Amino acid sequence: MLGDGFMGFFSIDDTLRLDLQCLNGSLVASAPDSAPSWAIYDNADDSAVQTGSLGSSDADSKTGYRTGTVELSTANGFASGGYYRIRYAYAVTSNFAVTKRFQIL
Amino acid sequence: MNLGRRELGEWLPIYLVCRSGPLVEAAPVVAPAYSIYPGDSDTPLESDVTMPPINRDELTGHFLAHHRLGPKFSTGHYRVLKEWTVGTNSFAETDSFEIVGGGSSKGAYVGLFWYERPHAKYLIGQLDDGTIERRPSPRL
Repeated sequence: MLGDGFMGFFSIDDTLRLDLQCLNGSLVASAPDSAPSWAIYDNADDSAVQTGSLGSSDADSKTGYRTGTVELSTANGFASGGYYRIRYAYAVTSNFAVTKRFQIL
Repeated sequence: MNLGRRELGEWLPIYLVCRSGPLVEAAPVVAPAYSIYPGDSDTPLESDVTMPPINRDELTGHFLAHHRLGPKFSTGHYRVLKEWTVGTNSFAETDSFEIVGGGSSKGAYVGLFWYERPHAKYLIGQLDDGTIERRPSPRL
């Protein structure tokens, strides 16, 4: 309900499309107060491999639907066979967070 | 939810349980709709496709659509955004899936006909997308 969970399998050097449907405390689709931030963690530890922000406006005019991209390159700290977690953080009056996962084959 | 790895021509099941804020199953005011986005763009390949209900007599707010992965699609990652409204509140959730190599955007055979003529025998088949194919001289 609150997120996608597993995002799928990707290849090294793929461009990963990040997406997040922002909800308020009543789970109603809502535009966040500011651009949601994200951090990608290697499953092996809790240090962030990459961080960034999603778009500051709704994608396709869908309320609260924010997207962004990240290059899954070795230069950016990613590796084949790696399993990664993404944590999105955003605010709709209160603070919320959503996690998703993906694997690079 | 991740809808898995698919091939072209498959019918992708897109499932939705409409809920109101407190996670209670709820009937939406109008049919929910989904849009499908490719992995590299926020321009939808399919936009606001409405979903039919399932088992309406026993279930509240359950919807299931089957979307054919036809010629608009190619290998790659896709996102699905499902939206519904209960009362005056709008809700949404996301799915994702990947199309891997193999399959055909024409789909599978939905009908076959044995057609025998004096000079040859044929198998006439119709595919999901309506294409009629003639296969001469079939052999077992």
